[in-house]
Amino acid sequence: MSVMEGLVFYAREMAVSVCCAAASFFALAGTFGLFRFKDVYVRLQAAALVGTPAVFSAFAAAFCAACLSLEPSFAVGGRILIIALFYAVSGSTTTHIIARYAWRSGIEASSKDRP
Amino acid sequence: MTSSISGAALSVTAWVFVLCAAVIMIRLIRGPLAADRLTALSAISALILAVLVIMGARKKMAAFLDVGLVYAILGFLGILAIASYTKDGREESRAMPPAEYDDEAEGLDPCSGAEPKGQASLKLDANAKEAGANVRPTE
Repeated sequence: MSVMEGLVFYAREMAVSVCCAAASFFALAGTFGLFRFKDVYVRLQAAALVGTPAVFSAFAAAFCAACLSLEPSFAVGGRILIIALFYAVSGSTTTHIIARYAWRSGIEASSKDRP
Repeated sequence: MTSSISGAALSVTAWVFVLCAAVIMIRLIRGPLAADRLTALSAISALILAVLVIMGARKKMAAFLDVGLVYAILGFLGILAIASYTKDGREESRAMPPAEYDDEAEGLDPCSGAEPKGQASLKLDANAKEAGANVRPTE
């Protein structure tokens, strides 16, 4: 039992740490790109980088922290799965809606007139 | 309760997300176009949702996750509503390149008093947003 407990403990620590590092990296990179890029559509891609990989890495970290133990709390894990399922649909749909809004507003996609 | 490396990692990630949301708030306020503001709003909404989920998993409280689910739904519907009700894009305004409106605005500006209230000023009114949209990022 003690060996099993240690194995689960170390697996949880490793998984949560890796997912948190990935989430922080993607969030910082997306925030950097949101200020670095010059075009609306490229900025939208940077925001989608914040939206999808960072948020899903955070979901994975939270799920591992809640459920990867000897007494998992399925109330928290199930809710995280439901939120992830909803966000997988709504996040990309939001990005598409904003891109369509920008395109219909007549914003040019090319950056030929900008330095 | 997670009182080890994983708890610290979750806490640091939540603070990084809050910091990123605060920085993206600058883009939300300063964004030159409405699409930029919508982009920043969706990113901030995603980060706040992730912070809620992390807090709920760290404290093992399901109430955070209920709030997070409602927040995700309301954020999605809010962005959808903003993008549909502030829509100024009709098909005829997309068909013409906005650079022409830029030139027209330059030509119309000095003699706007002498111009009769005809079709030209109507077109200028209808496409003022696009003209501004194309002028502002080049500055």
